[in-house]
Amino acid sequence: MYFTDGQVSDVGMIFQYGLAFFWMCVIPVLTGGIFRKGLAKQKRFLFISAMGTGLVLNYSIYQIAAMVFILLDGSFRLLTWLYIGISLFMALLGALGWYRYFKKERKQRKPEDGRNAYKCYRDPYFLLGAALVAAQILVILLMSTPDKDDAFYTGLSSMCLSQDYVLKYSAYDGFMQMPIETRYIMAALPVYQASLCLMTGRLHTLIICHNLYPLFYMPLAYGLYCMLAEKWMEKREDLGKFLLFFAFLHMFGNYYVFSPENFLITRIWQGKALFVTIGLPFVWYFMNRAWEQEGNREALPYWLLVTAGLLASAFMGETGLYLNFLVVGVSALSNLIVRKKWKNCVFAACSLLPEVLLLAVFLL
Amino acid sequence: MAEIKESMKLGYYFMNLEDKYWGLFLISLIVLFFFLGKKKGFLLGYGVLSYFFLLCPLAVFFLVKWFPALSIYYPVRWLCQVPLFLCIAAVLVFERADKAQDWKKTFGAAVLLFLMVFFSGTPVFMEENTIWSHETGLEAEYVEIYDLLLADMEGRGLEKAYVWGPKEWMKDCRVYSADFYPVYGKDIWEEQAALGYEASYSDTQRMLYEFYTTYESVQGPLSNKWQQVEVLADTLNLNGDVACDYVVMHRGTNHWKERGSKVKKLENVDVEGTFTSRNYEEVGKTENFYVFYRRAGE
Repeated sequence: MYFTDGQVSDVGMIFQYGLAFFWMCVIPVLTGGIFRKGLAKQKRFLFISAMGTGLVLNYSIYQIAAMVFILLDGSFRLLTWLYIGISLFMALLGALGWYRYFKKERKQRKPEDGRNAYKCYRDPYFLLGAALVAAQILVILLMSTPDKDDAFYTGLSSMCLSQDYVLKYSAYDGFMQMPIETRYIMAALPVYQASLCLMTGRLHTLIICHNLYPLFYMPLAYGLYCMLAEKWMEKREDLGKFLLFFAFLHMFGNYYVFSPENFLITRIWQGKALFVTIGLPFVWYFMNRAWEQEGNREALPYWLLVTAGLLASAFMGETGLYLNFLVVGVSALSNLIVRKKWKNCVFAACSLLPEVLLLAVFLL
Repeated sequence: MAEIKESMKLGYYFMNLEDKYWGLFLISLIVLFFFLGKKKGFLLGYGVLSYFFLLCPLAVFFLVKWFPALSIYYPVRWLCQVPLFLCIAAVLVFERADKAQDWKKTFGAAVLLFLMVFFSGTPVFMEENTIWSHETGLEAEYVEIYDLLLADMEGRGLEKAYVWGPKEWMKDCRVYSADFYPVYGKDIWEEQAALGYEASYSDTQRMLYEFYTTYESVQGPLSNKWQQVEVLADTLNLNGDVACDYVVMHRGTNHWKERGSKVKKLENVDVEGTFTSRNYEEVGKTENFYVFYRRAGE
């Protein structure tokens, strides 16, 4: 395999994949420790919610940094270094949080806790569902369903790497004649994927997108949906049935190229797909949790997570940026009807402020 | 009135397109209403509100009125989270059947759920353009050519290279490496011309662009692809102002290959001879392609 920086040996490739695992999984899980109290109550979802939270926090930080760099016409490599610094610092804070959490948890733990918490994972339905998800991942590693959007989005990543700027010109030509449209500037995901290339010792962005994103984030997406669905399940064992149905339904979702099922299974690395499969369930889950809290003080960490989730959705794509207003609107309205907490509407509106600011900066 | 009729039509079109979910979404809401118990609050509220605000024909009417129809319709549908609603409802139905301790009911519910999904959708991986791919997700042979070019560029000390190649290959070249510069620039797909990219072409580039679109058009008036290969070789050779370091040509076949369609074989096309006799040097070949380098200064 030839890459722009020359031939990479097998050992080098293993090292690169190790780095990718570190940046794409370990760092988000550690970072999630910052909000350890706000994570899922159920132990079996602890790491899924931590990874989701950490990822969303990393994405929102990157989005803010990328915006500043675009406005200042800064260097892509400098942005990557800045992000490395910030994300490592956040991971360190999160690791401290995890340390305290596990220390406290060890004192309070009863022997039967662990067995009960993971009981649902031994359910045959759950195992069958997990096997279907594994089969989907295997298929996407061996096959691909190319679409033209890739020529643009992944093209932007290769432009950033080659020209050392952050979202400036269209990826199609390379002649630097066509400035990129504003709506694309507002979503920094392609730049982040280019940063991952640098952070993994120049593992090709195509491999990061087409192989590692499905490998690491498809289980995360299914996990987030399970976490969300569990809120409405009667018994813990029902979760296995849900996963089985959900994975099965997704395999038969090819009724349109933009269907959420198609997105999840064939191209989770694209912004729209990430928004549908990770951004939306994350915002939904934590917005519900926020609304469930009795006092404002208890609800605040959840609203912060919702804010980060909304910013991360904007990072995933400009569609996410616009749709967030509808997500928050409909969720808030349904919660308001059900729970009648008027004050929470103010929080919901405030969670959208960073996005309003983002839109104002680029559209006015 | 005509406007309402049009948007209703569009709504109807999408309902047909997603027929398996359109009706099922409403059924799942009814199931949730009867079976969900105390927890129904938010989920049912969201479902009903999203139906009335986003999905129903009247909502479609307003959405289409305010936003470009296609760009907003599908994203709005994502918000409804229909698969989530369907699966939660399916679990509830299955649970009820299971609770009845009647294996016939349970089996019936399972078969019904299976048939519901199986007959109303197509498997995602049966999409026409799904291919066995290289680890990058691109066609293995294309990647072979990109690597061949990058290795040759390195050997010649070129930091970037202007390339001409088949459309599908060209589409992915800048994704693989931003050191590739397609000759017509931006012609990754035809719509780019409509966006005004060709306005920046020089006269020769414009000519090449015209040539390119004709060459790519299987049903175009020029059916003799052999002549076109010669014309391309001559055009690039005679127009030194057009930067084109490398040419990638299909080996003796019409390279137009829409996924799923057959590659048409062309007889007696000496691609290699045509290019090597015109100041090109063969860099290498793959199973289906030749790669040529245009010698500088000749």
